Amino acid sequence: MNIIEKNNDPLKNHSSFDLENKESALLAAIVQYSDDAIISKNLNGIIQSWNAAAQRLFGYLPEDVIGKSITILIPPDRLKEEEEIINHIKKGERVEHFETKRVTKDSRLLDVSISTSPVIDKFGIIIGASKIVRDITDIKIKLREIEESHGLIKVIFEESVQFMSILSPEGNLIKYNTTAKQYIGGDEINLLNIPFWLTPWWTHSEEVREKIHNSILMAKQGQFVRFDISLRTFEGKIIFLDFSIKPVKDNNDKILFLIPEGRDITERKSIELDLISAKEFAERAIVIKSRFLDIAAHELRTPVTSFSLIVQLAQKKLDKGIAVTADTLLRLRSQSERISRLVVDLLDVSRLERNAINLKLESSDILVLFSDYLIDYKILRPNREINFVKPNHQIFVNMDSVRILQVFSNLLDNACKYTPDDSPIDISIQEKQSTVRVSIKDFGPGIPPEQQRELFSPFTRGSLELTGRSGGLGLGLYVSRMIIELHGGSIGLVSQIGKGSLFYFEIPLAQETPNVNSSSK
Amino acid sequence: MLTPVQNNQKTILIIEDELDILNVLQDFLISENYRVLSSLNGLEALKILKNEPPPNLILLDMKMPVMNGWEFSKEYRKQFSKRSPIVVMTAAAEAQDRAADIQANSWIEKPFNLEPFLEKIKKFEI
Repeated sequence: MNIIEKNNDPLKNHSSFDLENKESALLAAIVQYSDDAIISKNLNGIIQSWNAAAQRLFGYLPEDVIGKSITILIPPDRLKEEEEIINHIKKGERVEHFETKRVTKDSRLLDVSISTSPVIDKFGIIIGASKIVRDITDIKIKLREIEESHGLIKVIFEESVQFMSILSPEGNLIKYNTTAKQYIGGDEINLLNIPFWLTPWWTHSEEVREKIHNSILMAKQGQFVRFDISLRTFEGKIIFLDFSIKPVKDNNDKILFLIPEGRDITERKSIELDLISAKEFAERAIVIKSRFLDIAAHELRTPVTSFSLIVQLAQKKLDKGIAVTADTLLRLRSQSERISRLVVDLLDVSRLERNAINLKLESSDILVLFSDYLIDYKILRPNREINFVKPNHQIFVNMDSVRILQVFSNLLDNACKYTPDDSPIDISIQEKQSTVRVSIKDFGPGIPPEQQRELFSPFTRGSLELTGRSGGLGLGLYVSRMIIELHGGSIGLVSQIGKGSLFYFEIPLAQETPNVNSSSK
Repeated sequence: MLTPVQNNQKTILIIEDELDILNVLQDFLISENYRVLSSLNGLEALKILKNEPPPNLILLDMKMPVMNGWEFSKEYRKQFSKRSPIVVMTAAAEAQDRAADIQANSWIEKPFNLEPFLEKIKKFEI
């Protein structure tokens, strides 16, 4: 292009002819050896000059093309371009870096960038055009590759099942992907440039927000951080993410972006949490059961010791000719009963834990059951004042009488065990709309509230501590609760320190009352 | 139940809340010519000890109401300078540990037979 301008320079026109010739020769050489194809043509599109680079690019020798129309280089569907270019040239305008396609001698299509300038003669008249044609096929291929990979990256970012976002080095939200949008139900809220820890993904918990904030601070220091965190979706569902924040740095370690991403691990997490709690439960159960075994062994040893010592002493007396007394036998009987009770408790618990207790349900009068039992009970405890308040009519309950009596005697034994011998015990039976309530009230020391809760559970501190003071396995109330619950009833207590305790149970009345004759024997 | 002191007769204090055990041991030791002092818990034992010359041996149960074996031995050491040997009687699995807890002279594990029991008493009494 400069060539033309120089030819056009009026000052140069007036310099010596030799100099002009010399200059033309130099310029011709430059054109000839340029790396870009340089072609000139007249206003009719007829090729006037054709340099070596043009020959290399299009495959035509100068003699093949000089004097021919430029259109041999133009694909048929682009012929119109030539017209337009010529129009610009005629007006004296340049056409620069026009990207198009041209065709070679062997019919290959080339991506080219063409700059066309008018050629003006000594008199200032436009006589043609020069074109600089640059092969941009390689550049085009590279560009296409870049576009493709850019699209690919965009797809990966947008369509990842991971939560993905990009933050500024300060931690403000720049971009977030489709998964992140789905968690908050779309992107209609404008979140851009908001500090990441204040975005709606983390509003459900102050603790979570704090954690996100702290990790952003760490990432800003250049640290990669990774942790599990919970997120609440717009539907209110809590999900767990394996979350990380990665600082992206340039060559000088300057942070360009922070990249938070997270994978949904809710399912794995819930299995993990289940496993942890199951493990803790099992570990606790093992500790409690081994403590229980210690207590069971201890509690069994005491009556076994008594029993064995009584027998040994009786033996020694017999050896000396002293007869075994009725009192000795009574004491032996009482110790052996104590041992049986402990063993029965152990068996009951074992069965209850395996759900292996079958109730033998029968409709019978609960008042008769308890009255009969109390007659014997009072004979064995002549000093104890036991008051029994009951309605005057029969109360039929569909029950396993042996088991219900077991509960009743357990509560009554407890009342006796934990109170002085001369302290009274009030038993009352009330018929309610669909249930019967049995209450046993003592005037003993009462039970601290923190122990009350655990009293009906097996192997708990509450039941074990109380047991420690009295002998027994601390299972009576647990067994009682299971029996009452198997009857569809409930059991509980009201207790006040220094005032005493009231234990009660309530079980459903029988649906139909059997005829009076069969039950009043 | 107290029996009059005879010449050379040794005295044993039993601290045991289980009445059947207490009674049998008392009967047995009397038949073996011991003078026996009985108490149902540590507190009762301390009261007896205040009014008696030091016994030749103390038989101590650990788990008792009112005052257990641990509390008793603490008070005993605090209140008495001239002390008797102690043999712990316990149903705990770790009888030896219990004895060590309170620096007792020996231990006997429940249940036990009367003969080895008597041997142990003879070994540790003063």
